[in-house]
Amino acid sequence: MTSVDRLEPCGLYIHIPFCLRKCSYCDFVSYRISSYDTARYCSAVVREMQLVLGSSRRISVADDGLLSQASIEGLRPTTVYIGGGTPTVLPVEQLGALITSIWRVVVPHQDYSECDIEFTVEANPETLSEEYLSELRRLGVNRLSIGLQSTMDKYLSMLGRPHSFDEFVKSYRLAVQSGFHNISVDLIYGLPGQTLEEWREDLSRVVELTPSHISCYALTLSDGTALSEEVRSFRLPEPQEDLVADMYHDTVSVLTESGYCHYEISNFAAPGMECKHNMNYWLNGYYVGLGVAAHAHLRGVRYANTAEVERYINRVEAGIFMPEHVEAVSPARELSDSFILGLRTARGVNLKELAERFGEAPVAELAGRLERFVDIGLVESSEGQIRLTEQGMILSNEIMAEVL
Amino acid sequence: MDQSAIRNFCIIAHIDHGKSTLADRILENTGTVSEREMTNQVLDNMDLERERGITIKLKSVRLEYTSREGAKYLFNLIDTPGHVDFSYEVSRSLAACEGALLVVDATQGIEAQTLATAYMAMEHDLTLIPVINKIDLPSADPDRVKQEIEDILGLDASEALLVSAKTGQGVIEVLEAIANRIPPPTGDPASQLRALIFDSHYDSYRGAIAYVRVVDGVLTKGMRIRMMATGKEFEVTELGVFRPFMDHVDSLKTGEVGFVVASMRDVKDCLVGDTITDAQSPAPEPLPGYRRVKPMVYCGLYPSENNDYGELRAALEKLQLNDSALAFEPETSAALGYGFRCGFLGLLHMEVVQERLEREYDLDIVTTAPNVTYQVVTADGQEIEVDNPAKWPESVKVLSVREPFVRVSVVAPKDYVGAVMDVFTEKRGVYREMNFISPERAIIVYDTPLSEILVDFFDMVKSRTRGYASIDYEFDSYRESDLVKLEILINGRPVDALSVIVHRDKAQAMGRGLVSRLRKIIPRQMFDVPIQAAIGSRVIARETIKAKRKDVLAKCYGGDVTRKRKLLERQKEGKKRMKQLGNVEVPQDAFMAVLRVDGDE
Repeated sequence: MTSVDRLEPCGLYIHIPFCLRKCSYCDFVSYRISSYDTARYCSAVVREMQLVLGSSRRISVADDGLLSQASIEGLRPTTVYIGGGTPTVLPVEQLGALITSIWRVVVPHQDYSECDIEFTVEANPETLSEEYLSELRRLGVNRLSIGLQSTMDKYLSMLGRPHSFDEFVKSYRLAVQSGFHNISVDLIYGLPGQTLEEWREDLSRVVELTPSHISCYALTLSDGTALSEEVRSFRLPEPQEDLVADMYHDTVSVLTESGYCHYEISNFAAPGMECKHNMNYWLNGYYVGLGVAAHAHLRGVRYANTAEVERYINRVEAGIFMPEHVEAVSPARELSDSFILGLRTARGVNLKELAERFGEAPVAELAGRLERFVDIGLVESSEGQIRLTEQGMILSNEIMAEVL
Repeated sequence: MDQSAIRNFCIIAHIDHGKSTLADRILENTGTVSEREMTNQVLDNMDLERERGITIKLKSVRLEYTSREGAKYLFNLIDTPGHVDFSYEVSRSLAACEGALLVVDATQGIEAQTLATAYMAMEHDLTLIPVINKIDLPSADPDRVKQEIEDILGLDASEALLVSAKTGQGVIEVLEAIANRIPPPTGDPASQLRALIFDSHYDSYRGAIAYVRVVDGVLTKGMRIRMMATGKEFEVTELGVFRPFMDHVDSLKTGEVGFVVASMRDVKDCLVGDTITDAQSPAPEPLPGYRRVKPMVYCGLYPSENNDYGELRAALEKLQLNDSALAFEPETSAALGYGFRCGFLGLLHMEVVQERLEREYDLDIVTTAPNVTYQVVTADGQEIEVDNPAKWPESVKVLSVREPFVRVSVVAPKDYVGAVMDVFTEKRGVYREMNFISPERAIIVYDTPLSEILVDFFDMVKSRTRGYASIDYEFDSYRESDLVKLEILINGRPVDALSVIVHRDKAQAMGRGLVSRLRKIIPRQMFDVPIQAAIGSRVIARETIKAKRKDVLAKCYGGDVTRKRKLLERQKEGKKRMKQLGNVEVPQDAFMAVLRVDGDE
């Protein structure tokens, strides 16, 4: 038996790939819920969890030998994140059963109410009834991430969201009443036609509700989505780079003035309320992913499951755990990942910590490539800590491409 | 066959007036090729030519013809290139003939290139047989075309032949006219050998092959021959003719046309226009008309990836084996690295070479804007030739400058005469004359700087005449012009590959146009980038590319780091394809920006 103090913390992500319908900007793996047997999917996820994290951990060694038993030994999840899709479109019994199974694996010998594991469920306003919320609370879910995206109904309908702002406010208040103290609200800016004033209005309406956490994402128009098609064919105006940049800078000033910390490019939290699960990604920590299209990062390896629901279920039911995309992560790659991810955060990267793990020379080499950005005010460097400035964060692709 | 039975001729025609189709019909009707062998248009065999509908390489075909009266003839059909860049080659092909078929489209009438070539044929005393083609088309108007031929060329059009090369109608009459109207070659069989090289071709097994017309004497296999212009000597290893496939012979007699193989390394060993003579018993005088072909247009060719330099050199060397007019020498640009300054006969020649480098040699190349050769007289009285803006002397040291002028003829419907003249005015043209070919169409002649027609002249004329105009030009003379070097500075640094030589009066507009074009082509950088146009130290135009403000992947979905890396890698890849000018990343398109700048943009 591995002794408790030698266990390494990791994140646990569970993907629920179902939605009422696809939003117009979404290019993530999600399917219309009506065409699937969700109960069977949830059982498959539990089965996969037992294969990967259960008492009889059993990973089939991948053909190339990259993924082996050793990859998962000694890992102990300290955060759980059920994302999607929309996890809360599942009937409450199904999601409830899944949550219960997760607790059983994550804290097998303990009462979950006594541990300090961050347990997040993503939700959309239209799915959150009073009953649903109190059941989630009862089952030990302690953090909600609600997709709002805009406070204006014209943009909600442009984005294909199946809810209004009023419905969001109602479910938000219900969630607070149900005992959720840690609620994150997602917003998107840089929408076609959106003005700076409208975006400020979005921010002030959300700040008024005083959520503990706000994520503000600049819209990405991904090829193949309905929204990008609308823009490409000139039916909707293309968001202008300068305006979107102004929105970003406004977001930072409005939210920091309202007491939120800008702790990652797109994320803001009341002090101490940063999302632990996501911080683990940005610290280049380990995590296990369950369900279709879920990603994992383990010792020396990254992998992802198939995006096809049928294929996933059939494999797991046959007792096979074999992800589709497995790649070895060399120390050099771990190092550049640590830079790429770490630079997303306000904390940045600590050269001394990295040097202990990867050696002085390669760390100094990468840090050296960032020097030219210091001169133009995009990167700050002090006492072995390198971080992006507010301006650097919104130009982060340019900077990160340097450390590949 | 007797010298008196030989007829050497070529076909003069505008693009699309049916030269290739008529040649095909002639080949069929003389039994030279069976219909089965007849791939469409036998004489054009390069892909590029087929796509562009032009003939770049010329060849000859030997045909046997028995006339209606039962007399036997030996025809040599000599193909001529159909583009102005190759006018010297055209003149050498014409010099190998005694007659020419002047093919004119019955629906279109005479075009500028046809005119230029027809005049050239007349200068060589060729017998011209007017052939009015496409008479099967409903819109054919042979009478109008006859009138044009009489009015503008002064030929008797009453004997013009009415033909449809497509249906075969009138083709026999063409063959009869070749036999009856074109005179036989007049050379002296007893005299020392003089054979005119009218084309050459590089073959990887045989080396260079010369296409020749024996003017005097006899050329035999095994003979030691001398090239009279270069003095080089070779031994003839193969002689032959095309019917149209290669057929070996032991000798080529006076008046005959064929090919010569003689262990010549490349086409520089058998220059077009040179005279082949017998090394043991050389002719006292070469045939007239030889001249050394000089490039008219230059540009820089650079590999996109610096490490492809060696490959680019190897490819240019290979092309040169087959193209004596292509010149190149190594050049270094601060902006583009190591590359070559290449000289071409003209714009088409340049395009063909660029395309072959990309297509046949799979090279990714950056081309700088083309320029001509300037003659600069410096303050200390020296005269230098400048074929590269980078070598332009400092403005204070320039006393005077001469640039090449070409005589440009445009044939256009009368309604577009004004539009054509406007183009010439914009292009610094000097009016020469205008004549009406017919009541409906005029020929407009201007002397224009070659540099002005390099860029968008052809497109401008075509678009302002809705495609109804045809254009021809020939070198005229070097003339004095008030020219200056316009420099482009990116982020304060002059970029050598972007400098251009322009007329002082146009510098302002050109500078503004270039700067505004570059502002659109160069992506926003991490800082403000000023773009300036300057003459000497005087800045005449300036714009600023504002710093990039947003480039972020806002969301990192569910720990999918791989996807994010791929995105960044693509971004990095894109940067690699850019040229680094100081801190500024410039896409390769920028170096061609000059080509797309309209002075008044």
